[in-house]
Amino acid sequence: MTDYWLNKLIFELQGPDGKDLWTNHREDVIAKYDLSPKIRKALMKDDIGTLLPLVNPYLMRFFLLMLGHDDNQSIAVLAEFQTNEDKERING
Amino acid sequence: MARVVGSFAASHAPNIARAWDTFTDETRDWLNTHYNALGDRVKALEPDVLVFHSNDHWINFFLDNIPAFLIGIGDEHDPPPEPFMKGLFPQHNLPGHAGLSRHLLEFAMQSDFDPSYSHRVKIDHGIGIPIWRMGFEKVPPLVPVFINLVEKPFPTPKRCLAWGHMIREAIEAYPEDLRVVVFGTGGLSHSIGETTMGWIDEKFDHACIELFKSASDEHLASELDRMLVKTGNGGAELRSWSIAHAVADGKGFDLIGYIPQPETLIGCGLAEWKITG
Repeated sequence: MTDYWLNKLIFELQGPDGKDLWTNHREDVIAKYDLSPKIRKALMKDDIGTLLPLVNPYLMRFFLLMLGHDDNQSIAVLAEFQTNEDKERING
Repeated sequence: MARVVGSFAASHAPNIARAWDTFTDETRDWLNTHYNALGDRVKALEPDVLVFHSNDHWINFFLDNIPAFLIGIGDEHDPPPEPFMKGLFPQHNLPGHAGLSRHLLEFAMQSDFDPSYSHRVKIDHGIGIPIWRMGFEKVPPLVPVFINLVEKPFPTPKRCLAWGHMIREAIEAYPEDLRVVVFGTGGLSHSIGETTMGWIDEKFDHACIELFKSASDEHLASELDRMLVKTGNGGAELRSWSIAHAVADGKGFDLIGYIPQPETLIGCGLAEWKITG
């Protein structure tokens, strides 16, 4: 289920100073949005598994890049959460 | 009267710009060869206007308001804001065609479609990548049509095919003598920001290519409905190819090139539907 405020936070980090804000002022950024305690905690800990079902995939792609993951690292991070159904789809 | 002189589709992976300098020679050569061929075909048609269909990538749309279709009706458009797209075009702002775009909007409304519209859109990589790689000395006027293909629910393949037929009729009802080329951009298979990221579904890609050769609207729509739930999320962009297919009345498909391309994370494809009659 898409979480409006979480997606808005990530959407607004797409600006030129987004990476600096997230790296150096993360708590201040999080405080601006009406997020649940669970999501706040996940954001502070880079807990992608908790965030994944709540974030639009295209914004998740940006978020992982902003965290410093290149394509291969992003693929590896996300693959940790593959279900058996995902694996069956990929393997045909 | 205006007429459609070409209908094309092309992939638009952001890595084509973002990672261009780090690609292997083989990948860069493939992209150069095939996007140059695309550009040569389009330029040979001497278009006065390019009507581009692509999905927005969180540049013009957000969760506050997501239209199924949006037409940019301005006489110019903002350039792509993505950092990896900076400085790629000979012009800063990109030219629009206010007359044709307004006509398409009004024709769509009269045809029982309900697109949103904007006097000032940002052209993102979805349209910007094919334009950049085609290498125009001066980019022709663009009519951008954005489709929501990033946050469900999406318009159905059936609806996108109907949109493509409507666009053809609309262009041909425009009184000015214009040569118009229509594009659908995106695809082929890819998987972005989800657990299967990086997956290129070659079976899906080849099945789609076969469908575009001769499938009826009904068959293409039902097959896409069936296949899109199983492939990666980027496969949704085949709806843009369906629009290009419908603009050409489902005839004249000619694959310019296809390759599963891990460096761009997509099944990379380019095609023309040759317009007859």
